[in-house]
Amino acid sequence: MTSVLINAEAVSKCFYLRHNRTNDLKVRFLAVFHQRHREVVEEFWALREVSLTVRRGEAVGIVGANGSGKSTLLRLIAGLYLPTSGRVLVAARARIGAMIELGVGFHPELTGEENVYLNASVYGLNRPQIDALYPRILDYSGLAHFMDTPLKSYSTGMQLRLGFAVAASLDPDILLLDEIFAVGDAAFQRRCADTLAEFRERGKTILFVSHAAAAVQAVCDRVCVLDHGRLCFDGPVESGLALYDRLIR
Amino acid sequence: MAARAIESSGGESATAVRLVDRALEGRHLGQKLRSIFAYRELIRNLVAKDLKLKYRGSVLGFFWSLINPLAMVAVYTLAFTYILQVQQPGFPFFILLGLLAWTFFSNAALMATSSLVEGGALMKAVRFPRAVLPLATVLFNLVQYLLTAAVLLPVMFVAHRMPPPTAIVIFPAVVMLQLAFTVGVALLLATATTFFRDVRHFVEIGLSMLFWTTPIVYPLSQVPDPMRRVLIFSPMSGFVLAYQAIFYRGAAPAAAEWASAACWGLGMLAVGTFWFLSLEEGIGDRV
Repeated sequence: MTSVLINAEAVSKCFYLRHNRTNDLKVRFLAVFHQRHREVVEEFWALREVSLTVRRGEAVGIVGANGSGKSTLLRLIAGLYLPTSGRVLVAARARIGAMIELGVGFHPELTGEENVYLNASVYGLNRPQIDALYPRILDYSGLAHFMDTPLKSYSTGMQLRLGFAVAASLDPDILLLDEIFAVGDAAFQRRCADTLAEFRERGKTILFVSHAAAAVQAVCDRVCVLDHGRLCFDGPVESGLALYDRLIR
Repeated sequence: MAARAIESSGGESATAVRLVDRALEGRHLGQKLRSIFAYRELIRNLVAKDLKLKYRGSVLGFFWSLINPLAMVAVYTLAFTYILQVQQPGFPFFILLGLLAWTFFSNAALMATSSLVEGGALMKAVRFPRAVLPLATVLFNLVQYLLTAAVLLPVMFVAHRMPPPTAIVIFPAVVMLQLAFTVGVALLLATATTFFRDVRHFVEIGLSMLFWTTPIVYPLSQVPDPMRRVLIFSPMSGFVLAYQAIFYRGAAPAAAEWASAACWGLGMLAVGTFWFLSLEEGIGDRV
């Protein structure tokens, strides 16, 4: 039995939707007279009592309709949100690679190279570490010819490739992926799939959010289905995807 | 007290990997300072980004940071020596000493105010110490201030026919105190803005009030007595008076000036840090 790397214990996350939210005095004054100006606070439970255990080397697919809590679950595991109740425990030493959004912190006026250094330092790397990774990132993105031009001259696909190249080069122990297959051309998607396969071979742990059944089938050996914030299935890929298929119908 | 940690549950065959709650990890001042230090490359890159973007695309590029202070000397000389004909010798330099220190503070305060709110997308995608964002804006303005001072001070020594004063050795100490003050204010404002977006408008009004209660465009000696004693303890006065003492009068700052600078510098750093630490946790959810 391999060791547990992620253990979510009855995790719930509530967001507050403030309809008509305003701190504007004028509107507050109007609200005294008119119902439609009044602030209505609605609780939105993005996740309810989700318990999940992931062991080293597992590749878990997380599927569910839009708004079912998939991204919230990844963000909680990455430590970006505080749970409203319950707790998320993650192996103390494990490096988490959160590919939740690619190329965050990219600036259009900076060159590709400058953006790589900025982006990699957002993940906590220091200069010698980035210097060491740089050739790999260049090779991986296939953008060596463009590294000294400003990012604003890149196409969306090129920016995506650069962001993915940085994130993939960080060599995390736990990889959190949020639907990065959805964008990018066939070549990019193939590249992503190859990378994931390589991560799998090296025994990395993967949590993979996707709507693409084929991608989940190719990568994962277990599937979790989320429905309105509840974990309604956790088990083999085939039956999980079948359930998801019925849910979205 | 270390972060809450438990052994992986159930003593079964699971090999013991220590699991921690990352959201609660590193909550204490020492751990936070260490994690900020670990992200110094990010701070450096953010400062470098702002410096690069400031002049990118312009023909003269970096030379603008040399031209600007020289142009300011020319403009202030025209205004005060030739138009207003102020009798006080070297009055343009007197004003510039205070004005540069003021610009450092006020630009940093304004930039920091929106730093956390603007960094929202970044904070929702990657986990890093949030304090990095306001800190980077302050350091960017510090670098600008030091660059400008490095151009202006030699010009002043020549024009003023004055050798660099020995009191110049105190300069770094005053800068450090002003930096502490500015960091404190930056943390305070950046955090407050995540609750109320109005903060920015208050800051703009507050800054102009602070500007006129600081002896920058008027010498403190010309202020009538009861007010003079009060103005020394206006938040920015200690620093401005200290710079004027060192470079304009070539003397060490007076005890009251030191006291004002030290109290505001260290006090504000403590208040800002405490405020930030006690409210940091929900920032990711609020922006």
